[in-house]
Order: sequence, then structure tokens, then C-alpha cells
Amino acid sequence: MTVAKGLTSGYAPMGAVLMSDAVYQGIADGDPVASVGHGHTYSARPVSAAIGLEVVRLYHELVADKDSKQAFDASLKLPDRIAAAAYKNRLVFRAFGDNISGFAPALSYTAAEFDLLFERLERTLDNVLAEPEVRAALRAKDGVKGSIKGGVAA
Amino acid sequence: MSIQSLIEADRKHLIHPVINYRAHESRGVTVLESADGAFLRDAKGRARPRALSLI
Repeated sequence: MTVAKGLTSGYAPMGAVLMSDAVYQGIADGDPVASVGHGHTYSARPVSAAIGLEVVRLYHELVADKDSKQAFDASLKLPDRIAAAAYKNRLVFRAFGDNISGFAPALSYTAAEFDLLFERLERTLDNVLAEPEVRAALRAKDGVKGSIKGGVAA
Repeated sequence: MSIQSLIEADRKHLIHPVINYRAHESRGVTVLESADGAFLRDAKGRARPRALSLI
């Protein structure tokens, strides 16, 4: 699998190839002495790697249970709920179908505008969390009535 | 991270260009500690000029 772009949130060039252990072992067993003759041309770039590490630190997941990382059931249509709540709260971002919310604020964003973004995003997620069906999905996971354990992380 | 744990993490998760995978598994990676211009310095303090962009 080839991956790129999101590794650094697009702020620096970085790409990668991921392979399963089965594929790796297949290549490794292919020839006992020959080298695999592929080159990365440019690799081990410290700036891109540092940005990649920071991006991983910043990513958060929307899960029904923070301990088990259990995802929300697709039938809940959480992205539709998030998109509708965001529209009402006057915030524009992408609510992807796999429960990932994508943000690409303009490079000209000021600190005050980030404050506004996070204020509206928090309100949006709180609104979604207050919906009975979403609360029920959380309760069903942890079995604690009326308690929002885990839940939506911004 | 210690040098040894970096070598182990590399062995477990990374592939490198123009290597034989099995030979790399047994030998392990050379960990670079710093760079100064074109010179790379490894964890044992040995410096060498980098003449290959892909390492």
C-alpha cells in the first residue's frame, strides 16, 4: 500500500510503502544473496519525519469506547450528524464517511480564528453527543446508564 | 531511545533501499547520530561524507 500526503498533513513531502509481513517474507525469501534493487531516491529527511511524528501526535479518533477504540456503528450515520451540526454552528470542514473529520484551515488562519474554529467544533461535537441515538451507542458499549464514558474526542 | 532499541525497531518495522532483507536482519542498521554539512556521523563517532541521497 502506498501512502502520502496525510502523513505530514500535507505540510511537507513524505511518502511511504507499507507491506504485510507475508509480502515482506516473500521478498526476503526470493534470493538468499541478491539485494532488492529499489531506491527511495530521497529518504530519511529529518524535517518531514519530525512533521510526520507531530501529525500522528495530533490525530484523534472518534470512537464509541476510548478504551477498546471500538468504532461507531455505520448505521448511526455519525458523519451525517456531524455535518448537520457543523452547518448549524457555522463551521465548514469535512465529515468523512469513516467517522474521520478532516480540517485544512487556510495558512492565513490567526490564533483568534483558531479559537473560533475550536469553539464551534466543540459545540458541534457536544450537540452530536447530546443526540439520544449517539448517547445510546455509548451506553451500549460501557453499560453505564447516563454516563458518557469515552465518547467524542475533538 | 538507546542505539540497540533503535536497531531493533528498525529491524522490526523498516525496509531500506538496495539491501538483502535477510542480511539486513542479521547485521542491523547503522544508526546515524548527527550531520554536519555533507558529513554524517554515526553513533560510534565516525564521520563520512554522504554521496548518496537515498540513505
